[in-house]
Amino acid sequence: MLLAGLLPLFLMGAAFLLPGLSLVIKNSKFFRVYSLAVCTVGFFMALAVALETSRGRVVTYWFGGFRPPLGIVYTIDSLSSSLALLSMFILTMSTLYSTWMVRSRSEYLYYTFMLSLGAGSVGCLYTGDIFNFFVMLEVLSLSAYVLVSFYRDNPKAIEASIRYAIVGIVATSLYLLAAFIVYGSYGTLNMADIAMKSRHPDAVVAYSGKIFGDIAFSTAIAIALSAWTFTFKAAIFPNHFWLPDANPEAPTPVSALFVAVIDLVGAYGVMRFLHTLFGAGSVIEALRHDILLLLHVLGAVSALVGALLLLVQTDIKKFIAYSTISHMGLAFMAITTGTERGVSAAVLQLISNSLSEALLFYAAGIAIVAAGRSLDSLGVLRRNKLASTAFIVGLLNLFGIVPLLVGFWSKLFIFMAVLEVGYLASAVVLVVSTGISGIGYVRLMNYLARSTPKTREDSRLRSYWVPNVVIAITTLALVILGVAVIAVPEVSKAIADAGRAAVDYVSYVRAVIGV
Amino acid sequence: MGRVSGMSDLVITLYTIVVLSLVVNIGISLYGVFTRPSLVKKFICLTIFSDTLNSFAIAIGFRRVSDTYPSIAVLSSVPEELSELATFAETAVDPVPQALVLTAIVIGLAVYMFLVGLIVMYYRHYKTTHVRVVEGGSVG
Repeated sequence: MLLAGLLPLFLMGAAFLLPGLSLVIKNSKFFRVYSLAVCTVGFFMALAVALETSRGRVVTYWFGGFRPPLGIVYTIDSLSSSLALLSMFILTMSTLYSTWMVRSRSEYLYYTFMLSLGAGSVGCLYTGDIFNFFVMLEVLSLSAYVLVSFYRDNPKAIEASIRYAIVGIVATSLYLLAAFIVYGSYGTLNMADIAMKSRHPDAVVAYSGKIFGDIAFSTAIAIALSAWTFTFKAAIFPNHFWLPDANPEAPTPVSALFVAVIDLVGAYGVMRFLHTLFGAGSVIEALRHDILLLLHVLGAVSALVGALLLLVQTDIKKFIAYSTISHMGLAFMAITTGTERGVSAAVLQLISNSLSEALLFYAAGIAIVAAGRSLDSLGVLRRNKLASTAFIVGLLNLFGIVPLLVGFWSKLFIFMAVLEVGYLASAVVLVVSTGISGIGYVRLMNYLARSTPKTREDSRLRSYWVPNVVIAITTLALVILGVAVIAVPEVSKAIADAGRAAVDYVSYVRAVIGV
Repeated sequence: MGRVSGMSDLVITLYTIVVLSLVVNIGISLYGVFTRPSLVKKFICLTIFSDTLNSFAIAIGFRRVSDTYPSIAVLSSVPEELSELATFAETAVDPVPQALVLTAIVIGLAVYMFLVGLIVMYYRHYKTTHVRVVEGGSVG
């Protein structure tokens, strides 16, 4: 399918065109309209790909027409297409929000890196090649470092970006090492080829190397190295420290898309590696349970750590960042149950978390512009009924007690998924972390209702229609999804399909190698 | 990583030494990245780290064919038979890791250039390249 191969290239090309256009066009309104148009087109392309992959179909695109495993191939199943759709949705919303929020002399650079961030994320999700995954991961990471340090006159932003970049470079390099080790032992870079050879080491594939040495051992090393990268990207304890550092210093629309665009890739990597590539029945079957259990414990710890630390925050953005850590921990607990029901619960959790964290940032952004980043400034939102309602909806969704919202269903599904495999302690962790973070969310609502901050003058505060449109669309998406997950069978089936796609390696392999 | 059968002990020993020293190098460079206070030294250690990984990839492409060294596979004329091409492909060094390393170096260049820029910015703000000690310690 040509569209699938085109989407990341389209975003990348549009991004690279911007610095060139900036030589000719000086009006920053043009860049806003341009990148919004590009993102919208990208969103509809992702939607078309997602519709194409419904009903368990796997779409492939061969770059340069080279037959896989010879060339780079994009392999898109319903797992990657649904996550990419989410990623593009939040990217579009954030770009629209940026047109209101971001004022700078070098606005074209901001939009350049927004678009390349989207290209990196979608590329990571679509690719069926472990080295191409690394390339896209670097595109994603580099754009993220740049965006974190975008307000370069702010020393804290520079410092946060340096810390993030140094640890980030080590993390992605470790993934590169893992990819080299996998290539050395499997003789191929193609994910489908690896997925087959990890189950049937004697399989012979045209244009693909033979396996070398003890692949169970080298696979274990590769998984250990790449798990470091994925937990870093997904901000899972003990690699969570960068998120509360980097996220608050980034421009607010970028903070809003951290979960949906960056953390998502880490969670997706674990789904792909531990379920499709080296899943049940593969050479590391004996170790797999222990690896999953270790990641499960890390997920549980970060759920608790995030929930506890968000209680002591006085900065809105840091508060939301710790909430993200807690919720990504829950998603990890679901992924590492090792069942397809767990993966679909994690997908739903990622969707719910991305939408509501983004919603909180969009609503809080208005308060940040008007009164700064302290929790006290939330009182500003009382003047804007839509934003304050949306803020409460976002908090309730994260709390997960209202069955109208998607957050309730995602937590319920995670609860059922961990009980299905008999992890009673994890179910307790889920309830406890929900309870602890609930205290923080109630505290935030209290600030929203009571605090009377000093507001400052800002030209952006004259008109609210752009952020209000963004907030309204995101809130609607949350509510509609929350109802649709239960009421509309197609939606609940699509979520279940996404989980099945991660586990069902046979159709993944068949679509690429055609056995 | 070549063919195991018939590989002489010396080559295996040398190969093991190379791989082990690369692993030690990774350890040393990571130690530098996480313990040195100077950002410039951190940066240098990072480049050593990624260069080590790239050398490792080149080592993976090593393919051993005969006991007499050097035995470089060269295809200087147009082969008349297909079997010559097959022999060449069997004996030549695996080209894929080299292509990967080339890509990784180019990407690394972009990332490291940006990091250098950041360090310069940091220097302009704080008048030092040492990482600032956060007041009161950092929480998580």
